[in-house]
Amino acid sequence: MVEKIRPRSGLSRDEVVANQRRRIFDGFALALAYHGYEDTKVTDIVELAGVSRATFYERFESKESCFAAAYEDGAERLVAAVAEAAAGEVRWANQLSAGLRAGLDFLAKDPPLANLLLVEALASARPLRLEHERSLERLAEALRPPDGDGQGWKAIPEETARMLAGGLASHLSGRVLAGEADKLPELHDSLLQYLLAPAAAATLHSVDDRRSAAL
Amino acid sequence: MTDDPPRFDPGGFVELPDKLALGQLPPGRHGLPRSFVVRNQRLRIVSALLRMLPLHGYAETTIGHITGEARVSRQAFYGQFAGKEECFLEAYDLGSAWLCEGVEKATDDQAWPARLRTGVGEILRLLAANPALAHLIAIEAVQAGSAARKRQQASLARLAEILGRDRPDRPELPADLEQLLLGGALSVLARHVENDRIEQLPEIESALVECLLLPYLGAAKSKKIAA
Repeated sequence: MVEKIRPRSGLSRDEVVANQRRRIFDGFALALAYHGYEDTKVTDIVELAGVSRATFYERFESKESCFAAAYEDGAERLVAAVAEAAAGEVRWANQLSAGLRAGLDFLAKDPPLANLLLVEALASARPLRLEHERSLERLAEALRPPDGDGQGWKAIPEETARMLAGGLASHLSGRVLAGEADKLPELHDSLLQYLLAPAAAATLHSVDDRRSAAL
Repeated sequence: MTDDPPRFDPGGFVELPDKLALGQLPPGRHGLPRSFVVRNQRLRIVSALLRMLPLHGYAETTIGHITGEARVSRQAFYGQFAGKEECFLEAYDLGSAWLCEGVEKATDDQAWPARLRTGVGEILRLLAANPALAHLIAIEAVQAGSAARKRQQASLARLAEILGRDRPDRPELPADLEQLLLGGALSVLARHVENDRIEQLPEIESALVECLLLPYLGAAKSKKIAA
């Protein structure tokens, strides 16, 4: 949890607001983990966040709009962690491996947020599910080996990548539901194999196909 | 396959005495055994929930919607179920068992990879003919809370087992690869259901089959088998 900033701490107004926002998001994720979305009340959120009801309503119109903002904030931080890790690698498969590790570590460090992003967002009202749909599409894009990068990976169909992304999200969601968010990093190797399998098969078999065509 | 796909109707699961129409039983003395009456009422409630879900979604479906559609009293509902979730889980269990049995039957005498194609085709055919079931399985099961999600994972594992039975072992690939891929297929299904494309589900058969086979057979072979 983010520490509460005491009054007269010498921080700017913006810093105080940002701190409050983060605490409300953390409080929201915790409340969701305890109560589930339906039974989460603004009272629970403000209590866990350590802010007043008035402060909550200054920032957000409702529980719903707070949820949407918390999802966006969480998803952005997840994407940033993944992108930063991937940027440190040159080859596509290594980028995928590093990005996956960073993503799993990020989620494992904050199980309530993992629950918000991977479980509750799916179960919530339709606008947020569309948001989730967009996240999956971004993920699918990253799962396709880039064309002509000189690393020999064969392209995979867009629909395959979309399925890989959906399968990954659904599997992680299952682990989080089972209360094993903190063990997500252990899945790295088998999930990487899963994510690489179609591209690897396309690549390997295309060598076989060429060989048998040549014979 | 030219025959009409079967309909999923929990109300039809009760073994009816001859010549008795399904639906609400006449009040008063009808001479039917009590256990039959109870079971009939229970499945009629489940059936009603199934019909209400596509209209209202799980979160907005009320007990009043269900009892009105089933033509039973609130008291009768709560005599059968502790609440909406229990009723939903029963609908899900019946629906997924029905679907799995249909896939078992269709793939009975086939060897992998043909059985995977046949099985996926059968899933899509059954769901296309039963929009309420498609809705239940692809959309609502995700929205109805954690118990439903756990059952969804179990159904995926069962389907993966049926479709991948007698597939040559591939120790270098993750053991639960098929289940993961089916989870992905389910998310593709959900998109079609949400976009009102339930009837067109059979059109995505070859794309799904190709995706499911790709890791095992490579691009060229998967495409050929899926076509």
